[in-house]
Amino acid sequence: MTTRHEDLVDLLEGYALEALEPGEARTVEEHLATCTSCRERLAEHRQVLVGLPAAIGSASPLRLHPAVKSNVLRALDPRTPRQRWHRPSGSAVAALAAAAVAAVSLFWNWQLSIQLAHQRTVQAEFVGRITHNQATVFDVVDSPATTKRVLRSVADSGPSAPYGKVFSRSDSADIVAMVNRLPQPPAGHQYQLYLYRTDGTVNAAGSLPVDSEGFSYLVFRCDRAGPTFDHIEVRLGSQVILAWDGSR
Amino acid sequence: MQHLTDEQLAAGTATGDVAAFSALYDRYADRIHAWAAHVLGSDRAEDAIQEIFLLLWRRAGQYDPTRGSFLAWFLTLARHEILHALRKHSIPERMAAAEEIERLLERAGLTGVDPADEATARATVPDLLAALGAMPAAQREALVLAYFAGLSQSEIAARLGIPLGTVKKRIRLAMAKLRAAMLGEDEDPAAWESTNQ
Repeated sequence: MTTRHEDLVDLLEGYALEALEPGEARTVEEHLATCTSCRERLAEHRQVLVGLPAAIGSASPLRLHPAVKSNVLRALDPRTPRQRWHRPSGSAVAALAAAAVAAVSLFWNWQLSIQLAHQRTVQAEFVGRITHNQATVFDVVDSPATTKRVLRSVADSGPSAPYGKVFSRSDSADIVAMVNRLPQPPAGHQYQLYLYRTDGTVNAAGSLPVDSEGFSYLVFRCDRAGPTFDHIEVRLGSQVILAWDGSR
Repeated sequence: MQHLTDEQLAAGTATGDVAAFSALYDRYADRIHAWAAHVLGSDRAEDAIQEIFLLLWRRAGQYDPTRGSFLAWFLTLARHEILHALRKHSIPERMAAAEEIERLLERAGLTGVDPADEATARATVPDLLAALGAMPAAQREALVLAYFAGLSQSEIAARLGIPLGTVKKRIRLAMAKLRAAMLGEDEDPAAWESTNQ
């Protein structure tokens, strides 16, 4: 029994890391069920591992975009029955208070359902197409502080002409650009987005790799929140394909 | 909320207290994001953060304080989510991500990090980074491959072409050094006996 315990103690680091083979892990679990000292030692190992993400968080230059938090908070499910419901007493005051709480709750849920419905509409438009930076994209696109500019085709005004949209927020430095119905560029070429700002600077925001359906999007961060533009272009080489002109 | 412990905030979150949940997010989102971004790429890290914190919101009631700290419980939950996403990557890709993390930790351990960072202000993190930077590279590699890349000890042995027993020993020694650094205790000198183990 002693030998078995000593053998198993040496497996606890691997068990805490979940790096054991399944058979070894089962053996450890059976032992843990009866060994208090090993359970305590395992808890210590797990506490040591807590330090690794903290070390990465300190050492890494990568930072989380602040917009992600608002998206997380917005996605919390209010219908989950977490809050304890206290049955109202028989008094009229309590009944009135309960009715008021219910009314506020109904109103809040109604408002929330409108917000969620709007969000679902926005997300449905892009579902399956936004494969990265989703939180930033939806945060920029779906906000009361958002301004949208529609980029029109310079050469084609027909119903199947390519088009684009550029979204920015008055309270954020992030820009989201989306284009659709663009033909595939020639090999070795890419569509490029240029933002002409009202302060006279020009941002070469980056390339727009087009998928098989002619869709592309780009997330770009300006040097300050609430940038304003007087002209935006999507170019292929020196040729302007899509444009928005603020004076138009 | 800043004066509340993790465990108190977890209890609040379990009852639907959004402010408590928000405080836990502020405490831990950055480090989990850095972790996810280094192994999954920045593109996927934001999605992972959302998944992990929504899981926290739904499962906070399952946390049992008698079985360990909230942070150990929560980081286990986060690690499962990150490793689940990471399984879509090939083992060579996972090893490459782990190699980047190992270099990052080694560099930070040797040069130090910005002390203004909130996580760094916690007393144990500089000690932990110093221990990670100072330990033999082979031990750090085994630990990082197991924890961040999610490889089993057998997979590590096979990929590195070394005996399984050597992997186990490297991980044990690495953990002993981290434990000593975190608890501020004297470490078994045997843990430093060889730079190759």
